[in-house]
Amino acid sequence: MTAEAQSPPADAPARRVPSLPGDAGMWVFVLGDMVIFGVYFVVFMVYRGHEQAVFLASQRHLSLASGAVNTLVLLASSRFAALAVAAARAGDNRRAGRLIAWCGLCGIAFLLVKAHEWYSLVSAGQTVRRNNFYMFYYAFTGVHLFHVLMGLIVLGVMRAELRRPAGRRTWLIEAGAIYWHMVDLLWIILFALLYLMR
Amino acid sequence: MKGTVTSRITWTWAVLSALTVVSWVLAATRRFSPSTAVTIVVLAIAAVKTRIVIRQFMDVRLAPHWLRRATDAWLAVLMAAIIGLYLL
Repeated sequence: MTAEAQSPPADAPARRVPSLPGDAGMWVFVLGDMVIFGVYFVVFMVYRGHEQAVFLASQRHLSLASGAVNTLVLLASSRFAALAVAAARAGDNRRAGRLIAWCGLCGIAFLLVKAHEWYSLVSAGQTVRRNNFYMFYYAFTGVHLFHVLMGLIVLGVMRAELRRPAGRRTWLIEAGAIYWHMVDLLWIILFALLYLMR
Repeated sequence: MKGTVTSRITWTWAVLSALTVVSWVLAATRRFSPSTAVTIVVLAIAAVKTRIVIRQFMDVRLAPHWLRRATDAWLAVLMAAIIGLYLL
């Protein structure tokens, strides 16, 4: 009886029933990652409070344009990921696969912009040892970059899933997209903390 | 139905990109000096963008109550801590 009440009829519109997008395991990981990043964001703010002049002076050497362009690139990638989920839900696997490929291309563009930015900074002597601002800058952007690389692998798994002849699992496509969106939202906050604050 | 979903996603992306450009321009006006006003506005924009990504792209608006509450609590606590420490 209880089970019957919990499972909606097959033809019920999805939006009427509060269901977990993706799967619970992915949400545990994503929420955990968000909390860990959150703690480090707060630690960054504590250090910034102590060394405000150093942080402001160091921030000037960052390329505001690179940070902004990378934000726009990740937002575009998130749009492709969300559209891919919509296509997968509608049963259009080919379109979903194409959209995931576009999402991945944006991810690669993000890596290239970031690599160029690091190269320019290191060439100008702004290395990780320079001061606490750069220590945080390289640690945050490095860990975030690792998440982007993981995301590219996740996108590959999603593409493979869409090509499965036996039919794909929509929840897996949703879970992969949720991970990708998390990478995007963490960057939104990093962009504000590292590049925009004055 | 399909058209509605696609256009909602594209509108969400357009709003997020526009907000990014606004905060980019705002920060560029104060390249070399501290500004509480610019900082508060760019942090507020970041909070709004983050919530839009969570609700619209991650589909948390359709998720169970606990997940909507948990993500809102995370964002509220984080932003309060960041802005609080900035103003301290």
